[in-house]
Amino acid sequence: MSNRRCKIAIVGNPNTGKSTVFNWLTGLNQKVGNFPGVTVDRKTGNFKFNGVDYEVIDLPGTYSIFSRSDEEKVVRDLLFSKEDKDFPDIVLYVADQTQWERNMLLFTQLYDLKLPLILVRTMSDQPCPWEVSNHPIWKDRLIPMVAVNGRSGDGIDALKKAIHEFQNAVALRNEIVTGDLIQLQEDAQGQVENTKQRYAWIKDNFPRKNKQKSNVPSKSKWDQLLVHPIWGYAIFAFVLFVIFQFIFRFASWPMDAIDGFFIAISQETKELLPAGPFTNLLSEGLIPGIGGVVTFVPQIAFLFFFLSILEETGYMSRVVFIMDKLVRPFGLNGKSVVPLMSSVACAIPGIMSARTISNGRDRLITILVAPLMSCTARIPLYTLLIALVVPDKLIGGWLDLKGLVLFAMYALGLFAALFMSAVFKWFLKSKPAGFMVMEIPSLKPPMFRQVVLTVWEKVRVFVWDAGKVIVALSVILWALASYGPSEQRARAVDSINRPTAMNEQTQKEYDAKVNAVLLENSYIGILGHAIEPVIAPLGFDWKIGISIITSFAAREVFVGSMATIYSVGDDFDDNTHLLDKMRKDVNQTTMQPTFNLASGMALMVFYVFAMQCLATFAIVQKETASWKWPLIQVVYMAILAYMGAWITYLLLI
Amino acid sequence: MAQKKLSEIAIGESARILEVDSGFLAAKMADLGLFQGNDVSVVFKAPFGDPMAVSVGGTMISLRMDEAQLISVER
Repeated sequence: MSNRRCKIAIVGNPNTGKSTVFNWLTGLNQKVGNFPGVTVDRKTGNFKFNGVDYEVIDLPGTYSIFSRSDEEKVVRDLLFSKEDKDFPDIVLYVADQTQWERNMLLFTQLYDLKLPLILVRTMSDQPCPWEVSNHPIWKDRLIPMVAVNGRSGDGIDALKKAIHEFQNAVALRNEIVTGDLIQLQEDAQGQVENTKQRYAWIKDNFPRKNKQKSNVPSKSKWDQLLVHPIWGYAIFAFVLFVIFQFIFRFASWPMDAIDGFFIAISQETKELLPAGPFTNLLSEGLIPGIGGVVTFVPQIAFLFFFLSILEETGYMSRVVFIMDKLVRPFGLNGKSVVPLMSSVACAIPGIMSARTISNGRDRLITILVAPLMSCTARIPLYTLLIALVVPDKLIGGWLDLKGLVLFAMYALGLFAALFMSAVFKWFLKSKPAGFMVMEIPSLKPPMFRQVVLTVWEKVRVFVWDAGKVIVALSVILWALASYGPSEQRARAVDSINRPTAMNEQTQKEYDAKVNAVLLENSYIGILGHAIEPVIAPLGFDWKIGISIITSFAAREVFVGSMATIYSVGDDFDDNTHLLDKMRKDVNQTTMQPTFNLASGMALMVFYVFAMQCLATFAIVQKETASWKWPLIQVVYMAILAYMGAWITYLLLI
Repeated sequence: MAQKKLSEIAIGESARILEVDSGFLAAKMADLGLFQGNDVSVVFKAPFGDPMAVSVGGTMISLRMDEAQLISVER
């Protein structure tokens, strides 16, 4: 086997520690992609042992070779086709020895498929209730067996050695259960019969050590609490509270640092390179575009840190269990809850975490509605507009109106998400009806190593895969906002009165005015003017139109664009100056203040619904492996935003 | 020896599976050990009684009520 790559596939049931074995073998030498045509993680990695290169693929967990979901189909297709370029030279079958009986089902199937197997017994630190070691299958060296402790890594060296010394003894095997597994794929009743025979064989060959005590998982004290009608929800609410506290409290520090860093690089580039279009492209288009990708990293990292702990401990399946009934009427299932709640922090990790939803339709619906949940990027916009148009008033003497409006925006997003799920449920008929027959793994402490690797993997996927689309689109947006018909722009700049005595203050004011007219006469500015008739019924003027277009890059850009248009310059740390100008501004069509209660509220409602986030667009494109769904999403959300804003405006005018 | 649906079994009680309605879910359930002749016990139910968690062969499995209705059991 020397001098060529040896291919290894890791196969096993879900929750058996497959990924742990994969991570121990490959460390950080991993790549994550998709299997062709489906959005199922294709995790590969490699390691070297005694001079041989090994390529490892971690296949999705499956209970049986009979496939029902996309994940299971991937496993079946690979193991059934010897011509596949990924077809393994060795299959590591990972079995949890505390769940031996169930784990052996898929094993016997692979055994009968004559695959070159090594058995990896995980949870070797836990007692095994079955007689396992003395079976002739391992005794006669038909199949090597290695015990591995996922927590400490004990047994990994022995496993590498077993891989190195692997001798294929497939020819010596007799079938455990006869019957063509390939033909049975389409025959549900035949599958049941075949499976029953296999379980009978397993029971005969691996008897329980203690006949009296079957290991029925007794209802543990923890589970009583976690699925309790009151405590269950209270604990879930508390867990969410802690996660959001961490994200709001701590994610903003690295995010500010990243923003500052990219602004500094951008300025540095501008000063170092000769002035010209290339320097501008670099310093104003490309560098801020990359910054716009990296700035999401802290939120994604924080959220996946917590989510993978919830997943690792087994708590996630309890949440799914108690939430399922509540969200089912809306076309969602219990697994949609955490992705949607995560979207309150940021829709990107929310959408990425929807991968755990195995039902394709439920997953798509979750992805489509997730950006309706009000994320943190909307906060600057809500704060600015509430300060601008909502009067300081206490309702009934104690309820602050501004706070109430903010709450209403969040509630509106949540209701819209649920409502649209129900609508999509009606439109999208699912072929196999959604089901929730799933294992509830036992509770266990999380493995830090696993958590860190998950965070790393998610961040990398976002930055490298979605990042390219985000940078490309944001450069296009930048170009449209920075260029325009040159004659028109020159005329506009000339029309500004140049102050006679230039000091620092007047220069600053003059520059701000120039920037304002440059944006107004850019392609985006012209577009903003052009859409004015369309958005006029919502109470919006061209200035808002421009800001809506520029903030398709990200919602918080709205505030920055407003600052440019109202020529308050760069230092909008202090919003009072901007607020003042916006408050005094008069809409030239209605002769009303541009930002009155009706138009301001309409604008907020617009932003509750509108997609307005390039990064979300890019991640949806990646996660659905299509351009169709992100485009449908942008369009339906835009329609919702327009209608919502229009109704709000009519109600309040 | 009353015949019931698994969905009607109370928390803490066990029963033996008599039959699983044929179809796509029957094969899925069989993978996890839910097939004729095996003993199941109801470990807990979610608030509102749905879904339920049952244990079979040492594995805990969640089932929605309409899924548990496909399984006939005897006590």
